[in-house]
Amino acid sequence: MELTKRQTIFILITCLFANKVQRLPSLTASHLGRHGYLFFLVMGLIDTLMLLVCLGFNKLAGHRTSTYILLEKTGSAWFSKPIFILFAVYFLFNALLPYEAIHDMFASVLFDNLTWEIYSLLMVLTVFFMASRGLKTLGRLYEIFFYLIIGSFAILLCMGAATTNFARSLPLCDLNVASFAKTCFEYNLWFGDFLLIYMFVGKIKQDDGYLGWPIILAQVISTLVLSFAYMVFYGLYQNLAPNQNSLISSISLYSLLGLNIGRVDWFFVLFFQIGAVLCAGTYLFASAYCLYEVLSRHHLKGVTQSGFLKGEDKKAKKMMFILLFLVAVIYVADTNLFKSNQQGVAILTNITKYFGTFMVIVLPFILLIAAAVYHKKRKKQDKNIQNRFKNPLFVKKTAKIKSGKPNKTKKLKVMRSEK
Amino acid sequence: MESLDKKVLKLFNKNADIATRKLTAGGKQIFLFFIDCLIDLELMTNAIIEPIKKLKADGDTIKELEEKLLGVGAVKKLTNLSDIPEEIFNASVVIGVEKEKEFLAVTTPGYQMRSIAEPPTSSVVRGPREGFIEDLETNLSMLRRRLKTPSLAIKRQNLGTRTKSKIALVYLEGVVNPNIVKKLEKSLKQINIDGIIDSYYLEELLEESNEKFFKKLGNSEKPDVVAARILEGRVAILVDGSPIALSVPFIFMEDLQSPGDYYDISPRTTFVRILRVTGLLLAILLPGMYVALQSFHYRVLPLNFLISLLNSIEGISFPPIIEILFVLFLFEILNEASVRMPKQLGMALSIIGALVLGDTAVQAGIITPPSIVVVAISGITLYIIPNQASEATLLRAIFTVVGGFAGFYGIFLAFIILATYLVSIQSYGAAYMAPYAPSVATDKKDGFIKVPLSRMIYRPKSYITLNTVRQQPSQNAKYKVKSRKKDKLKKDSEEEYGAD
Repeated sequence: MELTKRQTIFILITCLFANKVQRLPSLTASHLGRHGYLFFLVMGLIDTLMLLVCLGFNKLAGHRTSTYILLEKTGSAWFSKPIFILFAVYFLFNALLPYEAIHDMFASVLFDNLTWEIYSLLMVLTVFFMASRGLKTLGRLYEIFFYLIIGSFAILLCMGAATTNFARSLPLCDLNVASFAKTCFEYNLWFGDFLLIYMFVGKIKQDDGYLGWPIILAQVISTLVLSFAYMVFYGLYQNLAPNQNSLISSISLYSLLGLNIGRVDWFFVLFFQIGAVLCAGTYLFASAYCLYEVLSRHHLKGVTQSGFLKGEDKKAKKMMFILLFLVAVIYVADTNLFKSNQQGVAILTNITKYFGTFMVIVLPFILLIAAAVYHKKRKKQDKNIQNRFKNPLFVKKTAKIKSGKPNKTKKLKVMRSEK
Repeated sequence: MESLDKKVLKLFNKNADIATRKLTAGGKQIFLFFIDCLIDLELMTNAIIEPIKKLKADGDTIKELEEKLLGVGAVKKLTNLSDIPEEIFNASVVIGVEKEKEFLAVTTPGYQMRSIAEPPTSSVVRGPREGFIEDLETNLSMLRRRLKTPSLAIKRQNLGTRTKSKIALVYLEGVVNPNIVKKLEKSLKQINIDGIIDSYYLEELLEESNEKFFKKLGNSEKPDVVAARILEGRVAILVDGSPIALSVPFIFMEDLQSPGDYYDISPRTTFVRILRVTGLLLAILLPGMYVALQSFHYRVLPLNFLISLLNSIEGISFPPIIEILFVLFLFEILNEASVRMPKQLGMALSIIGALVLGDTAVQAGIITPPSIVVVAISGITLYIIPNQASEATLLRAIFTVVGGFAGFYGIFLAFIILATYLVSIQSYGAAYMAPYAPSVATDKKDGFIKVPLSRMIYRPKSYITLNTVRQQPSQNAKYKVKSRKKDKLKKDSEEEYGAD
């Protein structure tokens, strides 16, 4: 087993915050203005419901079978492979988001000049090193940094909340529902972090604590905190909110603390961005893992699952590096091809809005049905085995095989049954 | 026919300093072989030569000597001629009788040893002050005096084709994970080197992987610390000729714990441990952060401080990274020189260091006062955890270079890489960053925050032990003690090391 339940919860919470408090609030503000916090609430609620579906899948899978094997046993390779390719693409898109967010923070806040090429090279190396060390290492990294990341976010939020004007988020009733629904539809790529759990099914230790309720509680609290963070952000910048690069680096700008002891808040921003790097590493790992599951059976000879998960396999590392290089190329191309980052984001959301909706809302139900079918099949198999053991003829036969030397036909039968 | 003394001396090189003493007693020729600088000559005279003189003419001489006459405790019968050299080199007198096939090896050590003293790197305000010395037997006796239990196992073996250094594995039977002992024995057997001069040789040779930036074996000079580690279910490795005992499994947290922590009140220990972590981080990161702040992110600094900083660095022609690397380089030179320089020259070195290199270099405009302050703070905090000083020195240089070229962004990423590396390594089945990554709740009681001893019910769970319960809580009945099932433990052990 590679992960503990505690690590799984930490991964989900960190990924929940890491992407959503960067650029998304300013993008939301450009469409929804003061109602942006409702966007976070509604999308968070959808995520919570889908998380319940995901946990249902986890339970039916029986904690031992991985999602890929379950899908393969339920249908066939033709059923599991396309789903895992979709997962791989989705996670790769998600790995792009922190990549951009961290650049925003360093390039616009801490540096006068930081070229994309230098930034990308260093980032690619770090994320690759992190992801290639395996799932166990990723889980432990979250354990080390979790309190620092969440603590930094809380401090930054408090610094912002002390100077914001919450009245700017009112009135509530003039919400344009059509525009609201359109925004929810377009920006769903930033949500759906629970999909990561599908990759961890069968790899989570079952003997310590609960996964279900703590993870749901964490999701609900995170949703509320995100909505609150948006209110703080909008209260600070109002109509200027769409012009801000990132919520996390601008939320503490008006704090009075900096007057006497310098911009200590930037240190907290730095600490928080560790979460974004971890998030990028996790999504990259998940994407590479999906491709491994699709390709490993026939095409990647010698790549073992434990070797991949523990980060001990060179072929798996190569695969990850190629994927990450792809991420870097996409982003360097994005910044050089388009006039502005906003244009790049618009294209990204246009590509992903249908795909994201399918992944976040439709796919979990398909997977749940598959898990239910698998569960039923397994129950039937268990029953058959029990009945076979009850059958006196079978018991007699097996006893004969065990005690005496089986002849050639008996041997063949035994071998077949073992197969 | 070749005489016995010639036969034995043939085993040695011509230049070997083997002394031979020929005696005649009971009508037989008796030979004593020894190295006179290794043995106690007075003891040899009284306990070996005098009894030999009383030998009677008839019977088996060797048997009579062994059973009736010799007045020394440690007597070993040798049947092979080839065993003689090793015994002689281990400070024994070998007795041989003409026309008899067997020999007797009598241990009579008489060489000079350093007396037991307080180790210079682990001195304590309160607590035991004795430290290991270079003699294995004395070191083992210090452990034996502390662990008066029949379950204390000491497995000995010799290593080094030429040095034949004595090695002892010390552990508690029934507490330690037997797979660790097996693995250690297997690793020791695989070592084929000409000599083990110090325990550090083993520290390198016993490492499981090729990633050797951080040490993965614990070490200590204090018998009380090693005894405590043995009680926690670790295996101690002692080497003859070394005052440093090794221990496995090792976790990073051990280096943050000082022997004095266990002889002081818990809140004070907690405070000191947090100081140590902060100190370690400062030692590694401060020079790099200073370079990054000055080169790229001066806006982070408060305005007043920025003005005074700008005033003090005015007129310096070198960029911050060169300046800090230069001061670090000077610091390392002074450090190296002070370790090896005779004590009489120490005062002169301080004057040169402080006045000539410090004050004059500032006046000459080569370096600035803030850079000296930064390197001085980093240098002092480096030795707050002396066991990690070597690694921290290298990391400090790396972070300084990274900070100079890529600012906070570089430091930020380098720190993540460092953390990734640290959480991914392990020492004999124990995660290096336990009990924090992975989280082990019971072990955190002796982590950054230390709870009183009465609340430390269990042995560390960051690695497998056969007996997890350390004390029965008589006063604090609210702590329930659960003992791990043996089957589960066996399964865990097999997962870690594979079934034997």
